[in-house]
Amino acid sequence: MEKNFYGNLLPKLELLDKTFTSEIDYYRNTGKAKDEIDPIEHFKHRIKSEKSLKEKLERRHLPITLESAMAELTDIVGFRIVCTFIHEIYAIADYFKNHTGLHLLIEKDYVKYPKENGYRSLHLIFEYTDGVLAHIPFELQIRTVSMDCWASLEHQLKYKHQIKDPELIVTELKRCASIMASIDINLQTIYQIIKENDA
Amino acid sequence: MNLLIVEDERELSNALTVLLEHNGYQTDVAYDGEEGLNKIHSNYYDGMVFDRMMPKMDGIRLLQTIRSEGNVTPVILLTARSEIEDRVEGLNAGANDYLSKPFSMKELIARIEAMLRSSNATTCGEMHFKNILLKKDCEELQSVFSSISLCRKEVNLLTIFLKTPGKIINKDICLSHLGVDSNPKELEIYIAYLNNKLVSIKADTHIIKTADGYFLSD
Repeated sequence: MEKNFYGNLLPKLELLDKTFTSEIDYYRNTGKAKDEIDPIEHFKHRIKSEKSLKEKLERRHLPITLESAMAELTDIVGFRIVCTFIHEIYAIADYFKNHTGLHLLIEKDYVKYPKENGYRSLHLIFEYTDGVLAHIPFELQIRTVSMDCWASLEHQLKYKHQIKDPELIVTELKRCASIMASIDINLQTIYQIIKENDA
Repeated sequence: MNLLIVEDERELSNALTVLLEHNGYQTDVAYDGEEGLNKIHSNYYDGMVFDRMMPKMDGIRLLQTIRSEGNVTPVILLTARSEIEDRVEGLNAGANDYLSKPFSMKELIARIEAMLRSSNATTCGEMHFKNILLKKDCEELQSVFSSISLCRKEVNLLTIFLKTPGKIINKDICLSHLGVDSNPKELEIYIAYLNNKLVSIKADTHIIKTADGYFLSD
C-alpha cells in the first residue's frame, strides 16, 4: 500500500494502529479469560491508503495536503469491530469510552439513528490523551455481522456504475437493512430469553 | 376472532352464541346496552352484533356512543323493524350492516364473515398511534427516528393492539391473531420481539403484560 504521502508521520500512525489493536486484543482475551464467548466475531484495521485519502479530500473540496488531512479527517487510522449481538456493540463501546487513556471526541450512533440509505453502525472517534500518540484522532466502527454484511454489499454498489435501475437497488437494499435489523433484534431477544433461563 | 353479542332476548343470544362458537368464533354476551358498553370498554372484539331495541341503552345509542369514542370495530345491527328509515338511521349511527328479524342464521354468519373481511381490508394500509406508524402492506414499523421490518405474525399481533390502545387483550385472542398452532410461549416471544422493535425505533409506547393478557400503553 502506498503511504509515502504520510512521510515522517507514518511511523506514528503505524504505532497508533498497533497500539489500539493490542487494546482490542486485550479486551478479547479478558473476555475469554472469564470463560465468556469472544464478543468479537472479527476485527479489521487499516491506515487509509494515499489514493483513498486523496479521494476523500477531493470529495470534501479540501486541499490535498497532509496538513489538511490531519486537521480535517478523523479516520486516517480506522478500526472495525464486528460482533454477534446488538448489546455487544454498546458493551464494547462502553469499555473504550471508560478507558482512562482515551478521550471520546465524537459519537455517531447509526444503530439507533440509521442513515437514510439504511446504514447501521456505531462510529466513535477517539484520541489518546497522553504520550507520542496524543491528539491523533482515529475511528472505531462497531457493528453486528448482519450490519457488516449489508454495509459490504452497499459499498460494492458505490463502485459499480453500470447497475440497471439503481433506484430499485437502493430501495431494495434499504428494505434488506430493515429486515436484517429486525433479525438482529429477534436474535438479541432470543439471547436475552436464554440468559434469563440460565439465571 | 372474538365477537360481542349485545342482545336482550336470552334465547336468541344463547342460540347465536352456540352457532358462532360452532363456526369457530369466540363470543361474549351482554344483555343490555349498558352492559355492552362496559364490555366494549374493557375487552377487545374483532366484530360486534347489537340488537336495536334493548333496555337501558338501545343499539343506536350504543353505536353512537362507541363511534364518538373512536371505536371502529365493525357492527351488525339486528332489528325487528325493516323500514327503510330504520335501516338508514342504523347505518348513519355507524353500523356496518343491518339485518331484520326474523333472519336466517346462515345469512347472519355470512354477513359477519363479509363484515370481518371488509374490516380487515380497510385496516390494511396504515395505522398511526403516538409516534409510530405501522405500514401493514409493506410489513414495516416506522417512527421519525428509524424503521424496522416486521414479519406477518408481528403485524397481525400489533394490529389488534393498535386498534384498541390501553385495553387489555386476553391471551386467547392474541393467540388467535398469531395464527394456528401458536402457543402461549410463542406468544411471549413475539411480544418480546415487538417490544424490542418498539424500543429500537424509540416508540412512545410498548406492550405491557398483565395477569389476563397484554395491552399497548397509552
